[in-house]
Amino acid sequence: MNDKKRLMRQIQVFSFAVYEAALYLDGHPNDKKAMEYYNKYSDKLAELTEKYEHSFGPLTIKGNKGHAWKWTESAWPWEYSCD
Amino acid sequence: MEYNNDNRTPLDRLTDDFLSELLDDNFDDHGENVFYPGNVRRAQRKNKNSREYYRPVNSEVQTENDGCDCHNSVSECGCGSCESFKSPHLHGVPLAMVYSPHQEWENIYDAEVGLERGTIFKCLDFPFMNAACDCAFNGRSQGCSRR
Repeated sequence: MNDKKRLMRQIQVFSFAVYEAALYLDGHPNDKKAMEYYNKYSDKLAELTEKYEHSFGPLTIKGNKGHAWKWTESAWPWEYSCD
Repeated sequence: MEYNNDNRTPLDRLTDDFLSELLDDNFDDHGENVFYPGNVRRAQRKNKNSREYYRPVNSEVQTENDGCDCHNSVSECGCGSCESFKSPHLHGVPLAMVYSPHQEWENIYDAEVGLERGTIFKCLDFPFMNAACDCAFNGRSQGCSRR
């Protein structure tokens, strides 16, 4: 598995964890442990997303900020590349 | 009945007079329900907000609480007569209400494992076992509590 796929996989793992924690917090807004977990994984996710976008281009529209509208330059999701 | 200019709430519209009309129709002169004679007796008119007010009383009056610890009075406790409330987890809870046990923050999977399992909460990880148990294939019917 190359760097891009490995990084993408990690981003998927962390963003899933973040969403799970967010749903839990919706029902338990004052839970401190849950809040710590959410913060920790949000930070990790931001870091990895930044790293990915630096090397491979924007993942979401937010990744286009400050540059040209770059994400049209790489393959659209349905345009698979063999790698 | 005049509905125009009637700003009363639905509950307030259930005046004693109106209820008499409704309920008395179903009860004969001896206080027996015409549909279930010998089985249903008209409830005593208590506080309108009491559950007892609308619920027909079984003619076999329970003198004790039937071992139920729901903290309701005998007349208000509907627990003893229903099999479904003999389950230890549901003992004493009123009918027709949905309960959800409170989830705690515990037994969190590693993030990678969480994605594989579809949840980061071990307590919410219920793998599909192709039936709660294999009773259906063995010809046994309901009542099986095997996981």
